[in-house]
Amino acid sequence: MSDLDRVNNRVSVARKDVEARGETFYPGPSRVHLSAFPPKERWDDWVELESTEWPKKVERRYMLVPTTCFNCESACGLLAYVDRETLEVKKFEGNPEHPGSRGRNCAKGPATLNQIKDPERILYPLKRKGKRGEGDWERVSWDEALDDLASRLRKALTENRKNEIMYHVGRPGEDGFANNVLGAWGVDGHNSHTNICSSSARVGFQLWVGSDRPSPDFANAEVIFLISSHLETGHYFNPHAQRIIEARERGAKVIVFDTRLSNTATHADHFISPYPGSEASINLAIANYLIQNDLYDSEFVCSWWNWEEYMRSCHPQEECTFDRFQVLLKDVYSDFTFDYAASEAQVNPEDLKEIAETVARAGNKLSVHNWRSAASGNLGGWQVSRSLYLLCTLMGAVATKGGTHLAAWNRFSPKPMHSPEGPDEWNELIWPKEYPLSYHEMSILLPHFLLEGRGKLDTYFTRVYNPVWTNPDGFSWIQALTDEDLVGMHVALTPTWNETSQYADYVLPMGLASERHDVHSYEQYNGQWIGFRQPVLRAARTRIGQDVTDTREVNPGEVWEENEFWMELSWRIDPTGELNIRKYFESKVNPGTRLSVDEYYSWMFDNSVPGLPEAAASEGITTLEYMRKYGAFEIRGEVGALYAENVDSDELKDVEVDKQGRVYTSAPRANEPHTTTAPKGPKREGLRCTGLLMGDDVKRGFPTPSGKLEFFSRTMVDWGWPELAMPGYIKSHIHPENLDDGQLVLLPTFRVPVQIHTRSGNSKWLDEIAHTNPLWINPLDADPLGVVTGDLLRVETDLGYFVVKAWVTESIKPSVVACSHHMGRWRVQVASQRQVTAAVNLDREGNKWNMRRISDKVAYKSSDPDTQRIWWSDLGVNQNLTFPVHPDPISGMHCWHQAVRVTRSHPTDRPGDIFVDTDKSSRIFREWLTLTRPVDTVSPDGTRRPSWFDRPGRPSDAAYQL
Amino acid sequence: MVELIRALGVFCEPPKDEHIKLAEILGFSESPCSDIYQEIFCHNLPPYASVYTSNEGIVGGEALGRISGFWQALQRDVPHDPDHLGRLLGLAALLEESQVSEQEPARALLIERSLAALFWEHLLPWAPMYLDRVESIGKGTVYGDWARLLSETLIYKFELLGPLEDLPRHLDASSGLLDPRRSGAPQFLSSLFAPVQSGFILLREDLNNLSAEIGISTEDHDRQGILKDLLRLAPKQTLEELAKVAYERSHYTSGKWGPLGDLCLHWERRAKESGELLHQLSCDLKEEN
Ligand code: SF4
Repeated sequence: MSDLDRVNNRVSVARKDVEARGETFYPGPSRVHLSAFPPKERWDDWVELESTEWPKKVERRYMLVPTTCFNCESACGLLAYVDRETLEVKKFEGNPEHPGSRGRNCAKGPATLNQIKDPERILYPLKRKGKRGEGDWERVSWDEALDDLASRLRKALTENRKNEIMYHVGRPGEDGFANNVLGAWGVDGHNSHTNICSSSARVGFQLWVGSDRPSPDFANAEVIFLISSHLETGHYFNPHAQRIIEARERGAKVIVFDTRLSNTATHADHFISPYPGSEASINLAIANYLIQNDLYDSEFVCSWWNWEEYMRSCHPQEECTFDRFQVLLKDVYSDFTFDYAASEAQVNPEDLKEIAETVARAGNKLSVHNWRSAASGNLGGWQVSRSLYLLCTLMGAVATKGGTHLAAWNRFSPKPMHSPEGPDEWNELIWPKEYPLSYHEMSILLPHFLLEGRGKLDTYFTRVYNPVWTNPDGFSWIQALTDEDLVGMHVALTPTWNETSQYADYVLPMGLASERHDVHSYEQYNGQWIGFRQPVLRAARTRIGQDVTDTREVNPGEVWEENEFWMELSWRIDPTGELNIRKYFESKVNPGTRLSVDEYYSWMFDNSVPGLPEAAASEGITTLEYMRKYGAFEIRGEVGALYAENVDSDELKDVEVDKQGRVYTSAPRANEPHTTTAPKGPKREGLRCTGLLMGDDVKRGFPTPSGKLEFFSRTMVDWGWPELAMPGYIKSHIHPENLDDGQLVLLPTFRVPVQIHTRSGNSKWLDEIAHTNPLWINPLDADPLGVVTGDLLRVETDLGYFVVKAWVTESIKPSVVACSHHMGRWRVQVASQRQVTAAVNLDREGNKWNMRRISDKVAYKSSDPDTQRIWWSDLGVNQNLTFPVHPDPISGMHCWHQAVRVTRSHPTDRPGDIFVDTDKSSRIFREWLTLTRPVDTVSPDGTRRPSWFDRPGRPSDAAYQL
Repeated sequence: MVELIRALGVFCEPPKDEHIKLAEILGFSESPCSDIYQEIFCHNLPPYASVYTSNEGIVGGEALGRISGFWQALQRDVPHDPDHLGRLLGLAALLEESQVSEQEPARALLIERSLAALFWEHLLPWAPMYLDRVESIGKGTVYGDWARLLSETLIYKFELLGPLEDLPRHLDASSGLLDPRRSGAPQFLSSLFAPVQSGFILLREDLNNLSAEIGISTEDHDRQGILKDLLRLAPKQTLEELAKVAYERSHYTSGKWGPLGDLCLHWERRAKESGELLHQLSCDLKEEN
């Protein structure tokens, strides 16, 4: 060994030692890191030069306090820079200690600063005066609001009107707290946004693998196959995008299917712009190529597909051997030639072949993802994700390095202090009989169910959710929300005004990213982490020795956080404990007093996050202090192929094995974080299913009924859809065969990377970048209309029309038009989010609704001088108001794409105009209901839903019975 | 050598607490100190490649563009100071690290070629003359030790990676010391302060020595000011002394940098040519009074 080698070794060893102690070896902002994160041991006192003082060199001292972004579902780590002198948050940057986001953010993360300083944010609890929706509000105290709500809820609970209580959440951004509150109340009232978002994709993955999301290991993939504009706006945007970029740097190939030329598409090695809804046919053509040419991993398929079940059910007369299965498999997709798929997709068959060859070369390093996009746009969209996952299962790219993992194994759900029993009633307003397989709640249909008399709501909470603007058919929402017989009280828990909160009785201000507690964990790579969102000023004050016991003490005005709100509300609902609610919110440390958030999270971190107590102890701090200090903890760096692991012998007691090889045991479940690894076989008294007998070994298997990858779904057969037992292709409601002459397809689903639904409208930096949503139209469609960019167009849907400016571009396929999400914000009463909302007149005559903007002015005077500098006036259009509901009969997903007619605008039309006839909404709602096969006609066992399909707030077994 | 390269990379940045421990691990005799750091890196030898590889002799110019282009070619974000020695060493460490961890042989080879290109194109063209000067003015300080160890490390790495086919673009694109008779006095002066043109680094200390040698005291100007004074007051002697400086700095091939082969030959030739031109200019002048 040379002298230099020796010195090199000395440095390496020293670095390992120092870093093992949690310290930084090289100076934090050193250039050799090729990044510039402040080293964590200096987070208490970090010095920076004040940029606004340049060229003077004025030093500013900060405390850096971690929290989590509250904008999109990625939950990236943020570091709040808290000025040590003024205890004010000066900026947000990325938290380098966060394993998912690794110090990086998208534009929306740092823009949190605008949100917390928004001059128009709601600072105090408000109660409506006058009629609902009239816009007259008075400030009330939290005590008044809490007491009023508590007595109302207590009355509903004691009068056994539990199903009249509903909590409707947009992006939860927290792991199960509210669910547990509802559980404690015994209410099946959890409603979510899922069926305007991801229901479809979830069903496709769930049917295969028993986990409703994929977790692609992009960073290690050879081929990345995206049916979406994933890198720029997809699910887990920043954490995934950075790993996709890393893979590309290594030379991985990126395949993008997107009808629109997205930013992601421009970076792809293969980009295909398919006709919307044809994606499943392409996936199947690729699968067919792999099968016909024996390019798939037959050993994997033989071991892990439930091909025997398929043979027994579909070919009972055939010999049940894998050889025979392979022969028959060649027939299954033989119709899906490249020519067929290319004609469905209106693309070049040669391009599809080239992509198939690329997929074949990926081996088991194939990472796939589809979340919204094609799955959420089309009738039968769930077959898009199902047929996509077929490719992974053929290539053996399941939970491999560079393959596609199961979310259930990479996402970590900590056990809370109390896990209340499920409610004993089933709520048919949320889980109606028509949709036994829906993923998840049928929230888009709520107004229709209310309006047709299926039930009513006593108290309805919307939580960071804006269905009037976001959901299809917003005028039906207004119709239901303004009828006090249908909705007794509407409580909006929200940081800002939005279209829906205008129709509330109480508007209760809730904190943003740096003003609230939550925990969360998402499947962003092959590993598991847990993140902590916290009120950063509370944490900062604690660091300097001040005691804060209520987040309102540090938040602006009287802004609160939900956890403390729910605890206090529950405490007031059941002050004596007679309703059995109080016990879930009582301190264990100081019995008789209300639980605090500190105790709640301390218990969770101490008792249910493996490795965290040890990590905290090594620094001589408590687990809560550790999470307050670093904001995140990695539980496991690599998870891998759990299905192939052997079940521990001490988990095998009183073993019974059924005909399908499922192994049952009486031993309790091992106390480890992966709780969803065993097959979901039928229940056996006193036993639980723990694995799968394979040869001499008991393997953990997959969390499906068979314990294997379900190419053939017995569930689909048993629950009334035998023709959809295997991955297939369903022609969309906007398939050319279903369009009238002259109709085009409207793609309304795409997001822009700097906005997130209506949640980011209170950020001036983001609004300046993106504030309008013109209609993308191909020159081949624009020219015959004589339309050029900037001209006004009228887009007619089945309910009415909207008026929008044209953007003539070849970036969209001919015969398809596209209009982005986020824009077209409006207000009828309270002046709020004026940088991105238009003041409108809303006229209603019977069931005919007209909306028109009343002023072009956007700039306004406020405490922030920037609001007078607003230069934009075009705010786009709320296209979703003109869409009828299109619930997919299987997944329950709202099928977003629309068949439309695009014409030049009429002389009196103005940008942003909306017209809708809600009579037509009810008619179309009923038409789509006829596509369903209600549970009372198909249930194989008298229950309401397959027991292995997850659902929030799972009710008792008795409630599952029809 | 990953960690050694990285550790050496942080020493051309202002000293922080971590440097003290690092200096110990690296076996340096002294601890880093802000004053000496300032004197060497801020007042005399800024650690930016473009100063030594651009025809202008200051940070920026085409040389900086070439270095930014290199980062881009590697598909990396270009930092605001891509030619800082610490950055380049950080990049070298990163490339070596990814080469070692790369399983795929073809990719590992590609990374190795990038690493070789980084050394050949952007580190070695200026490291010999730069580090020699740091070593000499930092003698007896931590930075003298640093320059010596970094020189050894670079030579060692070069012996493993080998040269590229053509002369580095930075050197190929330079024209040599400009002849004032053809290009005018200002250009001549500026090329004297652009090491890539003159073949040697001219520090303020060199000029002070030179004026002492000639016996002229100059005003407390910047380098250009001092040289202008000297050329005005004693042009012939000044040019002759400058020629000596150039000859003295033209012995790379016989020194420790010898293994660099063509690179050393280039510098030797360039410094010698400068010496010859300066000598010639001096001879052409009439005897001074
Ligand atoms: S909005 Fe951006 S920074 Fe925030 S969580 Fe999502 S991807 Fe991360």
